[in-house]
Amino acid sequence: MEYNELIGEIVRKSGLTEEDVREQIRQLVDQIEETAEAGKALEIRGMGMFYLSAKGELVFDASDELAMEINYRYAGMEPVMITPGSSRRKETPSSPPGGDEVEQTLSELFGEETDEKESEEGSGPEEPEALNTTTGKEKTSEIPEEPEEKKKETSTAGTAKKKKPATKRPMPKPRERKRGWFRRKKKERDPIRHLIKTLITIVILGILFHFTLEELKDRGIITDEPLMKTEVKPLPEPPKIEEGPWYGMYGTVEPFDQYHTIALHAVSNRSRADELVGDLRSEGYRGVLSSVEHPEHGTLWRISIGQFETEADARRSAMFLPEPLRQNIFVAEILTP
Amino acid sequence: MDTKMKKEFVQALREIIREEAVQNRPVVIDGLGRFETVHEEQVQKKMKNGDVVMMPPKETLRLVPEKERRS
Repeated sequence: MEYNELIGEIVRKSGLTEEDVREQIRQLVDQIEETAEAGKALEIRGMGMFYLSAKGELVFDASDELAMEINYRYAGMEPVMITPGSSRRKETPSSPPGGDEVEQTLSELFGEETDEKESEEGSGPEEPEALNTTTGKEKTSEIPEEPEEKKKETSTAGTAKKKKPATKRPMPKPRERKRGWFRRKKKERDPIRHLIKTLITIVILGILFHFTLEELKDRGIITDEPLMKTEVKPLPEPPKIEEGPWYGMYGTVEPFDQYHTIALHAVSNRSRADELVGDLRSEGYRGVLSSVEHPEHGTLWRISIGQFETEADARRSAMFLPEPLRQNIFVAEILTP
Repeated sequence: MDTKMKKEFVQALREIIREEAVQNRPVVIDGLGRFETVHEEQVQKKMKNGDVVMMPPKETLRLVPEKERRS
C-alpha cells in the first residue's frame, strides 16, 4: 500500500481529516526519529517497538499481539522436540525440562524480547518512552497506558528497549525415561562360588539323566539295539576298461583295420616320407604313413596325422592343428588289407 | 514539538498494517520506511543443551527503513 492510499485508508477508518492524518504521521515519524537518535526505544502499544540496532539501523519489533494476528494461519503450532539433548537426559526431576537456557534460545528464535536487548544502554532507570512524552496527562489521554506491571518492568530496565510481558511459550516436555523396572543392578559375583554352583548343577543334571535313562531302559522304552538295521552291501566293482587300441591325434599308430586320418602330404620318395613322418612323431603327433597307387606317378607315400573312428572326428580334430599343418589338408579313409 | 498522537490514528494505522501484512502486502510510510512480512520456513534447530526442535513456520513483520543511519 502506497503512502497516499494509506492516508486515505486511515482517514476512512479513524474519521479524522486528511490534514490531521498527515500531521499525525509526521509526528509519528519525528517521534520515532528522535527517540531512536537518542538511543532509546519507542513502543506503540499493540503495534510494536522502534529502536536503533547495533548497526545503526532502525528496527521494528512487532508486538506479541500483532505478531500473533499475522501468524494466525500457524495458530497452535508449537516447537516439536525431535531429539532430546544429552544434558536434558541427565536432568533431575528438580530441574524442570526446558530450563532457562532453552527458553532463552526459543525466545531468540521466535523473536521474543530478552534481557540481552535491554542491556544496550547502561544508564540508570528512566521513564519509559511513549508516544507522548510532553506531559503525563497527554500520555494517558491519547495513548493507551501500559499496565502497572509492565511499567515497572520497563522502568527498572532503564534501557533503550522495554520489556514485554512475560508470555513465554510452553516448552515441550521431554519423555521421561522409566528406569528401574527393566534394568537390574549388576551384582558383584564371587567367581569361585559361581563355578561351584555351575559344577553342582552339572552333576545333578547328569545324575538325573543317568537314572532317567536307566528307568527308561528297564521299562523297555529304550533298548540298546538299533532301531533300524541297515545292511551294508559292497559296492559293485567298476567295469574293467579294456586296454586296447584307441583313436586320437597323438600317440602311436594303432593296428586298426579301418580308420579315418588327416592327410597332409603325398610324396614319391619313400625316404622323404619317412623323414616327414618322423618329424611329426617327434612332435608327439600320431604320424601315419600309407601308400597310394597312382596311375601316372606310380606309388605315392601319403603322410597323415591321427587315427579317428569317424570322418567327423577327424574333421573336428583337424581344426586344432597348427597353421602350417592345417593348410591343404583332407580327411582320408584308410582300409588296411 | 507537539507530540500528541490520537488514539484513533494509532488504532487505524495498526489495523491497516495488520490487514496488509496478512495479505503479504507492504505498507509504505514516507519518511519512515516500508513495513513488509518475511516468511520463515519450518526448520530444525539445535538448542544449546543439545535438543533438536522442529520450529514451526512463521511470518515476521519487519521495517525496511527509508533512511540510512549511522550510529
